[in-house]
Amino acid sequence: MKRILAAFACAALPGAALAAAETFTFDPLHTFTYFTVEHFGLSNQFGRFNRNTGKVTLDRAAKTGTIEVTIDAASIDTGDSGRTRSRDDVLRSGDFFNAAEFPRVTFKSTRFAFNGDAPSSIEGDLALLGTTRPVTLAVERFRCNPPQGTRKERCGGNATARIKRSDYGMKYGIPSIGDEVTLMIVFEADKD
Amino acid sequence: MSGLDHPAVQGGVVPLLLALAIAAIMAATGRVGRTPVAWVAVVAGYLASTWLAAGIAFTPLTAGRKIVLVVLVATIVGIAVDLARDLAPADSTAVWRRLDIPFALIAGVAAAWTFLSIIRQREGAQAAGLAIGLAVHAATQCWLVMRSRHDGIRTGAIGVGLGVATGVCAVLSASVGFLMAGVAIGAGAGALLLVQVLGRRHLPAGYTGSLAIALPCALFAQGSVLLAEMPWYVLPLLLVVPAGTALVDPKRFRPMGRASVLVGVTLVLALVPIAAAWYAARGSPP
Repeated sequence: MKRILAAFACAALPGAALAAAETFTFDPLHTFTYFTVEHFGLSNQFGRFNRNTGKVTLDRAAKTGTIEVTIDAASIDTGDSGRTRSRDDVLRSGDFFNAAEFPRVTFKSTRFAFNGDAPSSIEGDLALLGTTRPVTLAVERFRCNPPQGTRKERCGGNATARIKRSDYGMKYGIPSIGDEVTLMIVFEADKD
Repeated sequence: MSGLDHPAVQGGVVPLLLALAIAAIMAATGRVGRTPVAWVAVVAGYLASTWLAAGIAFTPLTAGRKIVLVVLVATIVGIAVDLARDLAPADSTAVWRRLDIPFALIAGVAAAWTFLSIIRQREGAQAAGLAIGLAVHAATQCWLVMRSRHDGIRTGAIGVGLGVATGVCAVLSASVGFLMAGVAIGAGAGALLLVQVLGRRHLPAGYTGSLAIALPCALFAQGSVLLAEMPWYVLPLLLVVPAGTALVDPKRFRPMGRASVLVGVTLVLALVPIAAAWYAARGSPP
């Protein structure tokens, strides 16, 4: 009998570990990657990528997690898409995001740091234009709403990072168009 | 923003002055000055422009970086063949004439290789059609320009017209980088024209000069189609520049007049692809 109980206990352990890690899928209507860059030393211009997909896994007890974000480079939107040969077309071209050759920008986490129950920073690798470099996202807010009625648990937040675009080979227009780019991932994700 | 950061300086002034200096020095250098090697100045101007605008690197090997690599290799091959031809016996002319078509075919293969990362994203017949289309365009353009390789003034004029046409079509298709690259080739070719006209010496373009003009311009135009917004039908229209210039032969003019007439003709012919790119952009450059 003891042997049977021990066997059940061993079989249940991995399940218990899996149950602690929760997976959330980004809601595309509330998940965007924004960026801002200095323009001719005058202003900070903003733009965003409209199509972002990805998943977050969180183990709040173990204070670990993973995040994967995939950004559709061609979905860039700087508010100038209403005319042919717009600024967005230039940004999609080989001069900047080279969306035809590199259709996706990805971020994959390598380490989560927690402050209490919420992640405070996420280290990971940003792959852009065929170059992958480590980037740290500072998590400025992270909150979860408990499930309500038929709605599952939903988490969301903002995370920010600064990169130098020249590190990824995107050198056109420097210094007129700034080298330093601030990225902000704004996300909401539903528990699977 | 310093003067060197201005696109007009990077794309036009620097390539022109650098090519002018290199071509003038090489043209005055003994036996080498009688070979087409001075046309390496066109590539030097383009490389300087690229270095100033975006830097030169080869990892990761993107399509844009492959263009630089292909142009470098083509130039080295061109120099080697032109120097070998200079040393070869006089009765071996037919052998060198037969190199036109092999070089054009190799240029075509190089074009397909350059854009392989984009061809791979297409499937089956679409990928094959794209690869063949790129290869045929690059091979045709190289063959057309190589036909005038014995005539330095004609090749220089074609370089000015083709460079300007490729650059303007690129900017009308949302690529400022290929605008600067095209204009850099045009400026370099213009510098070679100036050295010939002002220095009163004929510098045949050979394979060095004709490949230095035809191949990069073909790749810039193809890049404008695949990496920016240029409609594909501008590619065959760009061939009008070298093809049309071959029909004009103002022999009775002195070098200055001949160069002016041929440059005028190429710029008029350049309006054909530019008009197509402009129409596609509805006259709305970025």
